[in-house]
Amino acid sequence: MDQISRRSFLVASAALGGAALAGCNPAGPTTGGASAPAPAPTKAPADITGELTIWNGSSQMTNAIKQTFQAAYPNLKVNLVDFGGNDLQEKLLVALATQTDLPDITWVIARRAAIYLRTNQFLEMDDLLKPYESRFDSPSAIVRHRGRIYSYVQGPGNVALWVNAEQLRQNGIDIATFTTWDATIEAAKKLARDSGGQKTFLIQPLRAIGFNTFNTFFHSRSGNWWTEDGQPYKDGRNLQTLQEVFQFWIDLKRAGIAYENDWVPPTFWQAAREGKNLGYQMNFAVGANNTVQNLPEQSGQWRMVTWPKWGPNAPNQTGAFGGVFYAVLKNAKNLDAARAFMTFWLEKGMEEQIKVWGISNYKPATELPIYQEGRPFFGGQKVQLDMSRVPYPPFNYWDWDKMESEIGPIVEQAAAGQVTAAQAVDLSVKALEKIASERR
Amino acid sequence: MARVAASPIALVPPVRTRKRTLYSAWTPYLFLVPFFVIFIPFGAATVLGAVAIGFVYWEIGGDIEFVGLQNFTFVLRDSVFQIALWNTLRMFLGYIVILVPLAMVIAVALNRPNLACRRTFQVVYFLPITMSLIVVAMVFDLLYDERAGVLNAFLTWIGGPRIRWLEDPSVAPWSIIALRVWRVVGYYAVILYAGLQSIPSELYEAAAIDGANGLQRFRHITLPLLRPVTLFVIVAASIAAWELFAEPYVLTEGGPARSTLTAVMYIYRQAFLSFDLGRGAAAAAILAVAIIAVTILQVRFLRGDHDA
Repeated sequence: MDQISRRSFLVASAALGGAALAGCNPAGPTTGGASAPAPAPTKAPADITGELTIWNGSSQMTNAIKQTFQAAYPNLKVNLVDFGGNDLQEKLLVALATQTDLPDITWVIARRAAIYLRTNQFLEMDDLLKPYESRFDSPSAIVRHRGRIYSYVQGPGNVALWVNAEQLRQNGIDIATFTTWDATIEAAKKLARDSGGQKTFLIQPLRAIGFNTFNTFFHSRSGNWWTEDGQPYKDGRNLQTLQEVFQFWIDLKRAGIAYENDWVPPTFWQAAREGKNLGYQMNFAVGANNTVQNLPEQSGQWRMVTWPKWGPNAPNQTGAFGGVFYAVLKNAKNLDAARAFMTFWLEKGMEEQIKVWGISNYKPATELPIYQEGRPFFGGQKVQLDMSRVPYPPFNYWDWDKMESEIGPIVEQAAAGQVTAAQAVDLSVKALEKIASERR
Repeated sequence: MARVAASPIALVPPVRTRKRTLYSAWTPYLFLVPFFVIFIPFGAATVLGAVAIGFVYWEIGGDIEFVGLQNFTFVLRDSVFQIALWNTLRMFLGYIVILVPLAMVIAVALNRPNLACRRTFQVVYFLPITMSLIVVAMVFDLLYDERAGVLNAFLTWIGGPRIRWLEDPSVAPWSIIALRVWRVVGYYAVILYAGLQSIPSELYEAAAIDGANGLQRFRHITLPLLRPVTLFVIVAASIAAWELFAEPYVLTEGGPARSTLTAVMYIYRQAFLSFDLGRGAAAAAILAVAIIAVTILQVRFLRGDHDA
């Protein structure tokens, strides 16, 4: 299988519910090329006619498309089919296999990109997107397959801590102390101790979401499962880091200070309303948007805390949780409209895109006023600006579906105390070798 | 010598026309035609097609390549499939061992002559099976939640420990079995109850006159006479147990630590997450063989000699 050449970003969560996978960006160094000219779509908006069918996995983006893209192209009829992320994945598989009912454009979970792109049924867009390439803060922000450009990622989803600062303060905890993970864990222990184990502000989910959450910790320490060319990354330092992250995960479970749940079921938000769940680590799209949506009565109490450092002298960097992109099918019936759609989010729709995903890899986005806006729900905090100050290291995605089903259980075994951190590393390496050997 | 009068029936030869004979011969087949019209393309052909896919490597959008038994040997050697099969078997046994006796107890209770509100009880027990499986699984997800779930709230209220219903690998399979049993026990109880009603009451009365107590009547009358219905319940529940998918898919995704990963989930993952249709189909064929084999064994083991 070919590599998905995206480094600075990652995977979407979307395992259940297809909830917004989300947005955030790397905020890495803005290397040159920002002034590169970007081509306009070949036709003027008024000349784009006919119908355009888009399969979408994010209801927030569906709304954004309706309000902006459709409005900008009044002579075009946009058919939006809204799925949950997983449903879309299965439907797309069947449609690709049978070559029937395919849309013009589909939403794709970035971590599974290679599975779709290797079907050779997507349109490469070198001519359209190459001029934009240098405007992304990392060349790897572009979705490539076998050297060809297919798309760009929206909302790679770097993570932060989203906490109810007010309720934590009432429990004697100051979020300003969350500078390192040691300090943060100590605060979580105090909260659990003082509340008889009832309260927490960390999550340690199971399932695919759990593995991706674990991965954000590994990623934030510059860990990698794979080399750039898709071989198991067995570098000694990397494996040592992996073992430390496994140990961290085991200790977190043993301490019983994390909520073993994710943000999808209503119980998660109910626990927040009851004052038992005072925070969680997540990306922007869920962390900001879903929290605001589910806990309006707690407006003003919440804050975003950037990812704590792994030690006083460790680099200030985070991990990432997800990302998505739109890809055009080779057999798209309305290619003019599809091409217009692909550039629209870079040319005119960036602000709407930012509202959904929070932050973009696209450098000009940082100049938008929305980055400077204080958010009332977060006590006026400039969430996007603060998040964009913490970069995340490069990361190589290979066979992510198999990673979830092979490495995910090892993470759960470690958490359940069935294997030690060292054993978990050995098992992981064997699993990586197995995955690599099964590629056909 | 007395003459035996010929039977009047024998004097009347049967009237059979060619047309009528043809009609009689074809009638049963005509009745079967609609079934086969649907079954052959949508049942048999798809099953055979699925088995055939087990012998190929088929990358979506790519060419189909014949790989012989490669997919089958891969699946059989795959430790994850072995775990999934073992989990399925374990949960199948736990499910049957709990479900069948419980359904029997409910059926017997429903069959008590002096039971008030019998219809109400029947409806109440039957109701869960009418609910969407996904909805039930999601409701149980709320019940089982570690911190905000009703069960742990109750346990905490009575001073008990908080149980990690879906997070502990040793507890999660039982949580799923409990959900399944809750959902279908009423359904099977109603089937057994129908069987109980077909047992003549005279047998119980005679046994009572002979001094048999309730347990003896149950053991020597109810159980033997209910055997065919019980066999149906066991076989039907077993096949459903082998096909366990939706509940662990919604509640645990096969975790934690693969403790609730089932054979059908493995098939789903191979076919629809890894997009390896060949391996998925091979695993499905292997599972089908396992189900057929176990069902034959069950029927042979449970069927009495007089039924043979």
